[in-house]
Amino acid sequence: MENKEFIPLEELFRRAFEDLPDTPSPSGWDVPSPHVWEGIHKHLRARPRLGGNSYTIWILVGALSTALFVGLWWWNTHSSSPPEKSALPLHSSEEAAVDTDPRVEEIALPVEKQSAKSPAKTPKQTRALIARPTRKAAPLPLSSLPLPGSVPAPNTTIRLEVEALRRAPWARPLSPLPMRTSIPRPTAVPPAIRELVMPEKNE
Amino acid sequence: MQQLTDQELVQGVLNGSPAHEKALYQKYSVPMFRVVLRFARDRAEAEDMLQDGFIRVFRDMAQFRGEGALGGWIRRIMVNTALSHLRRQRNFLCDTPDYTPFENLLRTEEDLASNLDAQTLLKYLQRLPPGYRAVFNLYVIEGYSHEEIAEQLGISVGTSKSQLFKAREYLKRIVDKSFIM
Repeated sequence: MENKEFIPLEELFRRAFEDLPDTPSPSGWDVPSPHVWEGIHKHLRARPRLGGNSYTIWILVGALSTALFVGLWWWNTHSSSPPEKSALPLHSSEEAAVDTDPRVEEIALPVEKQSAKSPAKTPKQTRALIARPTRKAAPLPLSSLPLPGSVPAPNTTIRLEVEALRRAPWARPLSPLPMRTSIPRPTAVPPAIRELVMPEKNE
Repeated sequence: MQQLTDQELVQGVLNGSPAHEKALYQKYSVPMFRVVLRFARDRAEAEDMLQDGFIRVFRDMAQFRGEGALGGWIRRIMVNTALSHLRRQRNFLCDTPDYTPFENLLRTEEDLASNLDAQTLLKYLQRLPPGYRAVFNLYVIEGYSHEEIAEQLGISVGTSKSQLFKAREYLKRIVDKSFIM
């Protein structure tokens, strides 16, 4: 704090404003008009009263966090559930047929199939191709429904995966390379043949 | 409502009691109006400052720790509110006084009778340009240093000193002339 030396003029102002009585002046120059309080009162009533009651805030925070937790849990459980099987169980042969039939994929995922330019070449892509039709397979004809009392086919996921891996292009055995044949270079042409092929230039 | 202590008033305001809000306003409206009147150009501007200041007081009441006097805390808010109002003015820190020339403010018969009371001095003070008025008030009456004024108003220390010098000269001429009359 700097040491202040007031000149008489400043002292005059300072004393005049600091030594005012607590009571308002009889002339009323220091009394604000009533509309000031009206404005304050209007503003106070307009704003929401959350600061006064801390319980309300805590209840709101608790309710919001609970709703958020429940929502996240629901979303997590429903989004990570395994793909639904078709309503009717399939026989293993039919299931394999559905899995490998490209027409099924065309029905289920026409856009993806059209946009795909190259067949699956890695195990990951092959597994994805297996999983797709089980989710969105077309309804089966009545002839393919299991007979009443028949035992449904076991879970054939692993077998199908192995089968698909076996059928993948990169898993096929390589075709043997063509035999390399050596063409003997003519070293000495018999004179009889030479006369036939290459007539005498002297003629 | 009977006279309440500051602590009771603060607690009542924090609990949202309208009666306590009004009681607090009635207790401090007059002294705070005197404060903002010194910063304002006229009564209407001072009432705007007072209204905004009290709205901030009620809004920030939870921040009052009770370490100092409630009156001092409210006064600081009023001064800050008044400075915010002044900073928003286009001609804030304008060097050329563009208000009524001081010759027109020479003392009337009423002023002579009142012997330069607060009301008369306030009238002189309100004729200063906003920058002069703010620096003079902060330095002379509120007790701020030039460094604090510079920080509050966002100006340099040199500017604060020059504004105070010019305010002194201006007021000296007004008061001298009024004594001559």
